[in-house]
Amino acid sequence: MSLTVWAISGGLFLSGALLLCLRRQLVAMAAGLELMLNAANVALVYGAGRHGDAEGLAIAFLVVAVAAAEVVVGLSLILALVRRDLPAEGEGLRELAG
Amino acid sequence: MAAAGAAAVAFALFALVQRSLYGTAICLLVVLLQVALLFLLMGAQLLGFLQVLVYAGAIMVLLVVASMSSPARLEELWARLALPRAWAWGGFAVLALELGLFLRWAPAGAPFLGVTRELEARMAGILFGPHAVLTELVGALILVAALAALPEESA
Repeated sequence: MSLTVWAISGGLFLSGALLLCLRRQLVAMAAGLELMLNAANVALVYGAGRHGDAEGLAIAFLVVAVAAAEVVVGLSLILALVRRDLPAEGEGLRELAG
Repeated sequence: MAAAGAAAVAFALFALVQRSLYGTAICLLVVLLQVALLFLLMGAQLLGFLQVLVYAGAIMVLLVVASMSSPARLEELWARLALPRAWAWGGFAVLALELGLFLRWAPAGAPFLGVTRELEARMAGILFGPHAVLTELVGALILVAALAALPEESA
């Protein structure tokens, strides 16, 4: 069972990393980040259950909350780009403006 | 558990090769629901319900709104697969089947893998005991993120 869970976690993390690195749309890149966080959470919850470690579960809980905050900020930045008629793609963003 | 994991990884790979952002979002929704089922199978019921509420609910709505607002001007040359509607329904049907099997054969009160009610109770003790300030800070972070999402005109 342990190998199954690590394979699931690794497969999800790899898919998320590929989505983040290979796609150019910012929304798809944000989706890749979410996949990677979910993969980490699967491993954390399994490890916590296996070793009877409640702190691992608590960290998984905090990861869900931080991921929610991160995606709110990321998607609001994407919507701000769209409002200003800038491309919502990774390749089009080459400089920061204050 | 292997079936739920295989479906999650398969739809994660489908998300990679979708032509449209909407197809990617639907694949991601199937993956997030499968991960929630994995949490239930591991016995982490609280995290499973949080996964459905936060990820499959709130975050997916944001992703769909963002993908509808940002037209795909650039198309990947290699990502030309359009998710057939039957496949999307198939993903949800597999999920419903797995959930039905879980509810039918789940032993009452006993988890499949490790995470027990006592462990979840200890998690709550950690979150709202020695790390209560950190937990409150994370809540404040979500509030600040929501405020940052407001456009300048209405802030």
